[in-house]
Amino acid sequence: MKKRYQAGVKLLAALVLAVSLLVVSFGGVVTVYGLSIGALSGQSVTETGYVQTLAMCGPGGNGYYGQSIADMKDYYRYSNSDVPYENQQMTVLKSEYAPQRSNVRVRMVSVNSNGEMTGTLSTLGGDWVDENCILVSSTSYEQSNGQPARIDVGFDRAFSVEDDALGRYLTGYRFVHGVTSMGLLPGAAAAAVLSVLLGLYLLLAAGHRANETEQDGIRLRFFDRWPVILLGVLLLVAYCAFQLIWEGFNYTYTAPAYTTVDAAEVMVSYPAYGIDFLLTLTAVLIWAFVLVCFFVLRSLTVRIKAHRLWRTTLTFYICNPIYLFAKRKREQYHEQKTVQMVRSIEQAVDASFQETKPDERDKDTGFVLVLDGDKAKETVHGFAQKAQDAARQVADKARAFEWEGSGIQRVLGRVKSVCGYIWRSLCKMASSMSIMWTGMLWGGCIIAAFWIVGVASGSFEVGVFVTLLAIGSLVGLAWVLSQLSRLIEGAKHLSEGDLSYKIDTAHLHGPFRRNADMLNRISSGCAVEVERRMKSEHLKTELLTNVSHDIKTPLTSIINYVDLLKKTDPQPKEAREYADVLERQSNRLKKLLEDLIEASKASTGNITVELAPTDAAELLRQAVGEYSERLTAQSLETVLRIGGESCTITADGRLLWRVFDNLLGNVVKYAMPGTRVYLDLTEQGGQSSIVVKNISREALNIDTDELMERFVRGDASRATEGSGLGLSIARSLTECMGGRFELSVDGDLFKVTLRFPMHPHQKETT
Amino acid sequence: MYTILVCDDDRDIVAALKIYLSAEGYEVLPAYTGKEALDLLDEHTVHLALMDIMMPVMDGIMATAKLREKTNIPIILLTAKSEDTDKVLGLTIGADDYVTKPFNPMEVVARVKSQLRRYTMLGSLQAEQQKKPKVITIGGVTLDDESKSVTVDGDPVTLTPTEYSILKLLMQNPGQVFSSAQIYAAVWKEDAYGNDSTVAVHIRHLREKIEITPAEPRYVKVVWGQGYKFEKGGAAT
Repeated sequence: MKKRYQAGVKLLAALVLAVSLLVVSFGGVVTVYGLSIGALSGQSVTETGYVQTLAMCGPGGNGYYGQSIADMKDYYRYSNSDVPYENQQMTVLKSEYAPQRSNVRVRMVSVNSNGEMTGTLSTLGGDWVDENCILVSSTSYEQSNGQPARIDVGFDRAFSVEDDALGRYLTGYRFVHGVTSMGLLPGAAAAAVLSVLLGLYLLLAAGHRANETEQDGIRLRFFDRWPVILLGVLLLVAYCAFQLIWEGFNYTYTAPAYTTVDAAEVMVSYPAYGIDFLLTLTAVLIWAFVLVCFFVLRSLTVRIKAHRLWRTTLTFYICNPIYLFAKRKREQYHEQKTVQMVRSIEQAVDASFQETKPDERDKDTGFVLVLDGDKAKETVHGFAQKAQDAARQVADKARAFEWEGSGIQRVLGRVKSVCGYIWRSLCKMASSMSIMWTGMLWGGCIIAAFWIVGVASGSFEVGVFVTLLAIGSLVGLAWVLSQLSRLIEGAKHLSEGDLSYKIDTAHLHGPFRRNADMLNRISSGCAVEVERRMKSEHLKTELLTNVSHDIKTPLTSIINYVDLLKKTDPQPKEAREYADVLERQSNRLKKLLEDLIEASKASTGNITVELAPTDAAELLRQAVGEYSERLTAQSLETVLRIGGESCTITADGRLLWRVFDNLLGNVVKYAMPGTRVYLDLTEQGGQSSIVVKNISREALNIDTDELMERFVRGDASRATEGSGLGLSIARSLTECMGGRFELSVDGDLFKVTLRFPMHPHQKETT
Repeated sequence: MYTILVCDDDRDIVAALKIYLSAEGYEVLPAYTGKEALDLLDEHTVHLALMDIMMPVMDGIMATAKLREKTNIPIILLTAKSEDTDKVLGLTIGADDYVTKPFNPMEVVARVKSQLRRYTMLGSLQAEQQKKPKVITIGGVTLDDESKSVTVDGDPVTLTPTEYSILKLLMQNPGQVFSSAQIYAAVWKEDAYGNDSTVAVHIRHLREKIEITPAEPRYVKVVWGQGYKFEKGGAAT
């Protein structure tokens, strides 16, 4: 699988990438130059092309060709402002425009309706000799007599000049023509595609080893550990170097589209090198720059993959030491504070110990030596009280100490808390914002950035195009997001268990609609299934209840007749014993039946719950009172511990009593006689917990889940009365009231914890 | 000699009840449908009716309703249904008491006795109460503050002084719920200690003495998580 990341393959890919990039650069440079001199637009190697190229380059210049171009510009200016209609006007033009020595030739000719020349009306700058003159441009117009006429402008080749620039132009033309005819352009296009693919492959492969397993991380080379800023500098240097030479080249050879500098002048400024050399040099420069860019991109990719981008930035280098320093200082401060606190506590404990009366202490060891049990309790209690007071004082001091911190620290703390608050609020806002707004915000920012860049850098047409594109993208984005948010809304309802929610597909289109349909099908499928389950569960309960009722009637007869049997007088002794067994077992059956009905009702929630503020402390006292005889009969001592005066929870008192009825019933049945049963009521954080603890008579070597399961009890306990449903009923009822039921077994310690929400009114007052 | 109508579609149960009630000296009229019960009622003088709910031809609820149109005798419902709604329906329609199956025969006999006493002694008790202002009577329970004696359905009950004080407090304010702490303060005249369930234990003893089934009291009721109260009017639920 990971063979594709082998080092050899990667190296080969890199080499091929370099070569194809070189081809692309060279092809690109040649193309740009070729287009600029018209060598790629199908023109033949004529002076016309050259001249037209030069003519586009504006005024000024050296040499004769430069002069001719200046003349031509002048002429065009004239003819545009004051079109010469007649011979007289041409004469006027002649008198005003009289080039001294020029190879520019202008003639005015009459033409017939087919555009063929019928005769020469006038010439300017010298005679127009057809075999010598190269036509540059011609303008049609109408004579005053309505006949069509034409003004031609051209050059006289016979008017020969020594022009080095022309020679160089021809060299460049032939070079471009030569290399493109060798298939450079299709080759460069293919190389461009290859480069993109290879580049993507190398970026994907970057950082992976040849024979790594899935767990292996990303391997960083030494330059991947350089600061990011170094990469930036490298990129900047490469860009500047490239820009210098590229701009120079651009300026000289390919400028016509942007610059108004006379090309003729520029042609002369590179006398020493051939055009082929300059093109190749530029191509190599571009190639080198692209390679540097790719190198930087690769390194950044590897860092992002290895999650090390942030750690190699300059900001991190600056901030991290500061952060570490601050952290160390803080830790030191806290450590110091803790040491101080511990010392104060030690001192306080010592002091309170000293306060203990000397006669209560052992003379040799200094320890508290008390023989009397009550006195011991009192002493220890007093000591604990003092130690507690001291600890509280120390804690107060510590708090004060914290506030005594320096002003700067306090201000910093305040700033930190404010920043934290703002950050948390922002996070909260972001998380509570719908996908619509989040998406629009991000998408809008990106589109706006593109729009600004487009408008700022482009021409008017580009600006309009970019603006339209941005508006289009925003509308598209809004549409996609609105569709998406509908889907998300639906999925949210579904995940929250609201199966009746259906996504409105009327406004959804394409894949979104299909997705919504799928979600709707899931929800309706689930709803049907849930409905079926509920129905089946309900039927089961119903059946159980009905069957139980039907069993009750014969059971009544059994109980009654067993009782009568016992009262029937003359019978053997054995018969009485058998009747006793019958009575015991029928009573057990009765209890089982009642538990079964209750368990099935409670576990299916088929029970009316009237939640009301209930005083848990009062209920505990009442429950213990109800069970006091039975507990005493098993010689179990009850220890009721209630934290606080009263503890009002939200529960149904009647059901809560059933819970305790079952729990205490269990205690009576399974607790080891002669041990203590603890009932603790505590409140914490808006929750009140009631803990029932007792020591089991039998070894409890089963796990709690098993204990909870119906009918599963230790085999030894099976002989005692009861159905074994008690815990299950207690849990179901607790959950019906919105409470939590936890069971834990630690050795023989059996512990049940009930948690109920405090009544809101009580929460406010406490 | 009182006549009791026993109506249940299960003949064995009727037979068993007949044995128990006859042993107590009552005359028993057996019926196996609601219709039969109504017919019997027309022919005989009946002092109390025991009625099953689920019966063919005419069910117990219907029979009770019809029966109430004619007479004022106590009706005790016997049924396998134990849901609260069924109990409320039965009592609303005119029944006086309710026993769920499977029942203990002794409990049925006790309830029959209780209902009969109240039915027959109601007038004389009212007259007695007018004479003695210090006597409180609620339902079948009578508390005489002068002789410090308590009777339930005419039978004297022996209470300890503490139990008597608690009962007196509750009976003086029927329907009002007292928390353990309030009862403690009123009876022991001192503040309650938080973790004590003394009051609960005393109430439990009290219930055992004056109720037929202490787990389902008619008079001294536990309001779970609130306190205790004496049922106003001594309704038989």
